[in-house]
Amino acid sequence: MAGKGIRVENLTKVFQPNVVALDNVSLDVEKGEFLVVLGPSGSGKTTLLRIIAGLERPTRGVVYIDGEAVADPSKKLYIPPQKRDVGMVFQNWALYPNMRVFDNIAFPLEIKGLSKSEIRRRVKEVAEVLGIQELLDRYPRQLSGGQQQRVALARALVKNPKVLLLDEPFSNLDARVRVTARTFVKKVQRSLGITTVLVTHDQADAFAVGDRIVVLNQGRIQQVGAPRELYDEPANLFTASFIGDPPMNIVEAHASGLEAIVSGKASIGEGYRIGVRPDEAIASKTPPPGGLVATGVVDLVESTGSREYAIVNIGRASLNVLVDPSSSLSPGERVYIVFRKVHIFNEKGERIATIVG
Amino acid sequence: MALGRVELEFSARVIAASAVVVVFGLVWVIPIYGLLSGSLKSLAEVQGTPVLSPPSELNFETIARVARELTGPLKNTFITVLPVAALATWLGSLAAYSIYRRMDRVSDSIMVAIAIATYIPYHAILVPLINLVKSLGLYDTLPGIALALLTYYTPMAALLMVIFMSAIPRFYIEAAMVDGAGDLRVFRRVVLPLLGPGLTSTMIFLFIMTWNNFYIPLLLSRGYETHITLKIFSYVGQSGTLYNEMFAASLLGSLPPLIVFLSLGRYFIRGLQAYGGGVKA
Ligand SMILES: Nc1ncnc2c1ncn2[C@@H]1O[C@H](COP(=O)(O)OP(=O)(O)OP(=O)(O)O)[C@@H](O)[C@H]1O
Ligand SMILES: [Mg+2]
Repeated sequence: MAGKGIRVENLTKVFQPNVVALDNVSLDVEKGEFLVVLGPSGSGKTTLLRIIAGLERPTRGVVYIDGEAVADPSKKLYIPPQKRDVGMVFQNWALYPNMRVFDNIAFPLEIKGLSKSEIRRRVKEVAEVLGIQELLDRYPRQLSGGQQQRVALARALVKNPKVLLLDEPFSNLDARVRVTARTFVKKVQRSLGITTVLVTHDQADAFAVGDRIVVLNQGRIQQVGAPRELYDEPANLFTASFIGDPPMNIVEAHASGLEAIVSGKASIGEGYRIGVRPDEAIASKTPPPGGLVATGVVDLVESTGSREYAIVNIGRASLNVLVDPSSSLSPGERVYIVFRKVHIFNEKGERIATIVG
Repeated sequence: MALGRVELEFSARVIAASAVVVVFGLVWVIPIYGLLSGSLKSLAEVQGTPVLSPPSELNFETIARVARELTGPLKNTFITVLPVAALATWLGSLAAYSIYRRMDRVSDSIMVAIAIATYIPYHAILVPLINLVKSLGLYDTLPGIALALLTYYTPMAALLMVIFMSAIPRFYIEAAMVDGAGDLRVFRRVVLPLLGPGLTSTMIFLFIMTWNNFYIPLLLSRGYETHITLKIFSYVGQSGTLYNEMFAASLLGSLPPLIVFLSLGRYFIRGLQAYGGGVKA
C-alpha cells in the first residue's frame, strides 16, 4: 500500500491551543524523486518536514518512509528521528560550532559505531563529491555561507540515508551563490538518486530543482504537478497568483473590458475572474493579424533589463503586459494587446477554462 | 584639534562610567585593605587605632601564625567544597537538559519546584537536613557537610543551568537527533561543549557560595576544623577577641574565592554574556 519513497496520508497537525499548521495533507514521493513543497510563510512547510523527520508528532494521519509506517497516532506509533534514517539540512545549517568540518560530517558515522578508518574513508568520499576536501580542518565559523551549506549537505548525506530533507537550504545564500548552489544540489541528488523533499517559499528554487512541486497554503495542498504544469494549468487562483514572475494579472470578469475577448468561448458567471500572465499578453502599436485582441491605453512602462513591461488600461481593468520588443511605447499611447492565454476562474476560485489565442 | 560633538559625548560617558567603576572598586577594596592592615598590627595597636589607619610597622608574624593554624581547615574546606561545586553543577546541568528537552507540563512543574527550593532560606530546612545527615551516621564528618551542601545547592545549580541552557539554540539538538544521536550523546557531544561558559560560571558561583557557607558546617560539626568559616568564627573568643588574628584569618579565608574569581572571572562574565546575548562568546 505504501510506496517506496515517502508517503503521507491525511496528515493533520494542530499546535496547541488551535493553530492548524497542516490540514489533511496527503502526498507521495517516489523513490529517487526530488519533490519541492512550495508555499508562503506560515503555510506549514517546516512543520511537514519536521513531521517526516520525526521532530514533531502528527495530530492525525500516517507517515511512511520506504514503505514502513513511522508515525501513526491512531496506533500510538511514533519512531523517533534517531531511528528513521533521514538526512536533514536545516535552514541555518546547524553545524556544530565546537566541531571541525571533519567531525561534523563524521558525527553520524561515529554514532553508527563505524571504525576510524571507515569513517575517514567515507568522510573523504562525500567531501570529494561536494568539493569540500580542503575545508575539513576548519571550524564552521571559518566558512562562507555556500561552504557551510555544502558541509551541512555532506553531513546529511554521509550516512547514506533513505531520504533527504532540505528546509529552505538556499535562503541564507546571496543571489549569485544561490544559483550555483541550486544546480549543485540538483546534480548531487540526481547522481545519488536519493529521495528528496525540499521546502521553500521561493518559486525560483522550486522550478530550478523540483521534479514535481506541491503548492501549500494555510496547511492545505493547493496543487501538485510538474513545474510547467503549475505554470500553464494552475488549479486555482492561489497557485495562479503565487506562481509566475511577474505575477499573473487577475481581474473581475464582469465589466472588465476583457469580456469581449472571451465571449463565445466560455460562459462567465457571477463572481468569475480572469487571469492573464504578463508574459502571455503582448502589447504593440501595429495591429495584429488576428487572435485574442483588445485595445488599451498605456499608463506606465517599466524595464527589467532584458524585457519591458507596460501597465495598460483596458476598459476598467489595468493589466501588466509584455511590450513587443520591436515597439517602443510611451504613456498615453493607444496599443493593441494580443492574448496568448487567458484563464477563467469561477466564484470559488477554481480554474474552469483556459482560452488559447 | 577640537573634539567633535560625538567624541565629546563619548568621552563624557567614558568618564562617568570610569567614575562608577572607581566608586565600586573602592567599596570592594576598603574591607580587604582593612583586613590586611588589621592583620599587620599588634593586638594593642588593633584595639587602639581606627580600622583604616595604616599599621605602624609591617609585621607578618600574626599572618604566618594564623596561616599555620588555618592549614587544616583550609584543606578540609577545599576537599568538601570542590567536589560539591563540581557535582552540583553536573547534576544541575543534567536536570536542566531534561527540563529543556521535555518542555511540557511535567517539566514546567519540576522547574517551579526547583525555583521554590532555591528561594527557601536554608535555615528553614536545617533541622530535617541535620537529622538526615545524623541518621546516615555522617554527623561531624566532611562527607556529611558535603552531602548537606550538595542537597541545598543542587537546585540552585539546576536553576542557573536552565538559564544557560535556554541560550542554546534548539536546532543543534534536533540536528544531532536526526544524525542519530541518543539523549546522552546529544548531551555529551553537543550540549556540554556549548554550555562551557555556563558550566564554569555556575561552578565558580557554587564554589564561592559553599566556601562562604557558615550555618550548614556549624550545625553539622562539633569543632571548628571542618570548615574555614567556622575556624574564622573561632577567633571570636568568649573572654575577648584577638582582633588581629581574626583579621588575618578572615583575610586568608577569603583569599581562595577571591583568587578563583579573579583568575576565572572572564569565563564567568562570558557565561553571563552568552545568556544575555550581548557579546559573542
Ligand atoms: N511549535 C509551534 N507551536 C505553535 N505554533 C506553531 C509551532 N510551529 C509552527 N507553528 C505555526 O504553524 C504554522 C506553520 O508553521 P511552519 O513553520 O510550518 O511554516 P512555514 O511554511 O515553514 O513558514 P516559513 O516559510 O515562515 O518558515 C504557522 O502558523 C506557525 O505559527
Ligand atoms: Mg519554515
